[in-house]
Amino acid sequence: MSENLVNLNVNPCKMCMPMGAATALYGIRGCMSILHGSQGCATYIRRHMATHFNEPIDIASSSLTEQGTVFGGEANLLKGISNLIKLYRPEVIGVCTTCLAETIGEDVGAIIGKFHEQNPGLDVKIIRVASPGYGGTQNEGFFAALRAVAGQVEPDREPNGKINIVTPMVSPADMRWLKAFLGGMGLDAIFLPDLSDNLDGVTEKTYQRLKTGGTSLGEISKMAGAKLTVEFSEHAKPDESPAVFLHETYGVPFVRLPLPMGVRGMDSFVEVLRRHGGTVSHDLIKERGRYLDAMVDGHKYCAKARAAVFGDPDFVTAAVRLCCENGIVPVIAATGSVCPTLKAAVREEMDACAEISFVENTRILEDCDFDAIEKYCAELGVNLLIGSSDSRRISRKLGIPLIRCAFPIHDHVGGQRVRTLGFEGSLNILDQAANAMLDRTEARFRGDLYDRFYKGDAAFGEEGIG
Amino acid sequence: MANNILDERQCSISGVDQKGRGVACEKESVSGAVSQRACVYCGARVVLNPITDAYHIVHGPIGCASYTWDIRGSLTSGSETYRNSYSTDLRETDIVFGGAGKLTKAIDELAEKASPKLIFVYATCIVGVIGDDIEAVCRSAEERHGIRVVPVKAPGFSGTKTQGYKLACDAIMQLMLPHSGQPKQFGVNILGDYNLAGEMWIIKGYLEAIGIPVISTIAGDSSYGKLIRAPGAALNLVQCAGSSEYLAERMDGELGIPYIKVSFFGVEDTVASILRVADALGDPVLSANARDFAAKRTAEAMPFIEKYRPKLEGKRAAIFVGGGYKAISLIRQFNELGMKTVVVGTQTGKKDEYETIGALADKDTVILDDANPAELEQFMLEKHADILVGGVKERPLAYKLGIPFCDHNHERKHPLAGFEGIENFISEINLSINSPVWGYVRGCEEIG
Ligand code: SF4
Ligand code: SF4
Repeated sequence: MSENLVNLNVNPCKMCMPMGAATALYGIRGCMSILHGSQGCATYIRRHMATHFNEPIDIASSSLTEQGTVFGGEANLLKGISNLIKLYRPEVIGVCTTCLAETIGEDVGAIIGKFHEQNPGLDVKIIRVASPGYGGTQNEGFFAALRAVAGQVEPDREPNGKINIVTPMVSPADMRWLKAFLGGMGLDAIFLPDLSDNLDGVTEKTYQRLKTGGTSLGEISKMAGAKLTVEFSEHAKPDESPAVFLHETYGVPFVRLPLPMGVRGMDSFVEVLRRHGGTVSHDLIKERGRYLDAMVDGHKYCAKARAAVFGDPDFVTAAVRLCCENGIVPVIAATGSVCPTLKAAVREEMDACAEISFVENTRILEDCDFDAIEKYCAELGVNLLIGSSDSRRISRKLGIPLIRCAFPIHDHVGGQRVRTLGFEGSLNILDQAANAMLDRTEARFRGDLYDRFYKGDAAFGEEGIG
Repeated sequence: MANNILDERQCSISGVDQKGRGVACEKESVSGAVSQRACVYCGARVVLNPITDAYHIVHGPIGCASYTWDIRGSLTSGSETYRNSYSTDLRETDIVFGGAGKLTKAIDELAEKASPKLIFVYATCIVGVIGDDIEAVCRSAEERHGIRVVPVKAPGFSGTKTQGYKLACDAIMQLMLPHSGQPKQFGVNILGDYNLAGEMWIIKGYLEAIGIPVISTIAGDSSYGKLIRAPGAALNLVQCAGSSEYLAERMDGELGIPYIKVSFFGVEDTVASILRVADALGDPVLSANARDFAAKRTAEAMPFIEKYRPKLEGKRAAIFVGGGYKAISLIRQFNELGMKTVVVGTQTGKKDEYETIGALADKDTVILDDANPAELEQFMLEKHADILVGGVKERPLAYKLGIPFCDHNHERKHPLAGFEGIENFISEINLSINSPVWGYVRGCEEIG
């Protein structure tokens, strides 16, 4: 909520659960989503995603009407599912609830049961996701969908030696990197989810209405027999976490890691993979070395930066650490999610980093809006924004450069290709930060120094020697 | 192979020879069809959003507010308040215990700290269900603070976007009615123009050049103070009929202001509208001015059009826009360029609009209401469309199909109305249709 107006959220730093759920389901092969609720939610979410990913986004709605709201939406949902099947022939359907469906108390499980009863022999897996918008942000919705998928497929517990990789919302380009990276270490992995193709598609001769990428349910069922789950989240609660679920239900060991950004993020990831049979290539060692080299190249410029980092909790945590490693002082770490664990994750190192430059005041904000972020940006002298394009107006108003590297990016193209993970992704952020500071100095130093020190040329009078 | 057209959708699509008659419209969307429409709240927000000094509070969970925060290109000459998002951000406990208390506190706080003149409170889906009495909350807040606090009960499930337009018009009437006694002045109101990319300013400029004062604008670049001047006008001009004809009717009946429909897209409609406005005011001097003005500006526009025509003539256009009036103007605009409209659809067109579309379009033009991506895909490919004019969600679909695109939505940053808009429109069509990228894209699988 806002700090100026405590009863209002002013300029939200979050979206709602079904958006995250629908996004996650885009990473399942052959999957279409239908939001159980009224028409608007689905359309708004489609628009929001389409302008970030620059992809056609098709999400159905059960299009509840007044009638359905009063007497129950069963008929609408049944009809919606069969129409969706006619139009798209999906292998999987995710039924995500919205605020409305949850508030009127729809029993989605029973409706799905009825659908199967009425349509015996229909080869489509229907997964239900409880995602009322009031229950959380897109981040929680994303995990709710992953947890639902993991929990609702038939498990194949046969040990397969694979590694499960569970991610929060990362860009398709980052996902492609992650897949290549695991392959490069010689490891066989299952990705939950895999957005790499479906939300960053190719141009083809024939358009495929039902996207063809993503992880298949067959693969996902094998997660139960994997040798390890790596989950890139420190903040997902145990009951939202697929890793915890796979451990508790099928005994799959797990580690929860920060997103692989910065030196420590990457090192801990590589270390885990090495322990589980991954090989560290010469190229990777060189890449790490180049990254270290770049850190040194940029460190004096980065040290001038006072950053506000905002977005989903795991992104914020990882980005704050990347800042701290490079002497960029993160004076604001903010998330729109309710996330009591954020403070513990970043407080200590934010303080340590701030202390070097005698920065006294830093803020960690959870459940916050852009009104609060703007207020502290002004108060704390922020000179770098790291997050989504929803801060573009703060950027303009306060004249602060913005590194667009989190969802949503609506005012630039290429949201689907933003890189933040791995050494390369980290470098993308790092170089932009250093260059923002260089640009700032370049734009100002002549004038600043002139104003400050040039006092006219006394020997030649006011005009100088011309 | 997937099916492209659902049985329930057949009646909303008119193909060869039906000429737009019998296109079933003004209906709720079909479940699971992936409609491109938004909701009642969206319709209400479209109309009221450009009132620049209003505080628009979305009472409900955060999503509905978040997805509509500052997404429109309505420009302001005054306050920037409307560009902010205010929401009560209801949570689980509010759903259980009700959100009226939170809303009351929010309004009180706003009234105290921001001294607003006008607050709109939009009730979204679940507010209707949990039973918050927002009318009572708004009424008592008005009394406490001596400002206007207007409820807009717009749960998404209560109809279509059209219902939302109506609610917004009612809200505007609520604001105007207490000021109905003011003396009449010579001049017009512009209704149904949202000043996207300054379009209202362009039109206002034309009218003033002819000698017609503009009293108020609803709701492009409006404010509470400007809005309540509207009852004093002599004539209403209705631009976007889909959203504002209902308001015009109410103003006619209750405030005695007659209206005429206008459109300022394309040469033909712009010229016709300018002349009709002047004639409607019944002053021969104005009519003469209007004719001179229209002739002069048309003459100035022609060389531009003639320059571009050879690059566009004979191309086939597909149209999918929000309302019928825009679609009608677009068909005429394409005709002016020697282009043929092969597919035309709207989200919320009305029966009479579809009939006009049918009369304007060719025999074999596909006309469809509330289309979905599958239908757009099928008909654009089948009819070999060379360009799609549409909204934000349609753009990536067109691109994936290898079809150029013209943005005719509420987010655009360049005017498409008036003579200035004609140039923008034509050059946008040209730069997309004739872009070199398509030459490469169409050979996309020819590597190696
Ligand atoms: S909850 Fe209702 S009002 Fe809000 S976006 Fe969805 S349909 Fe529209
Ligand atoms: S917050 Fe709830 S009602 Fe609003 S868009 Fe999200 S799911 Fe729909």
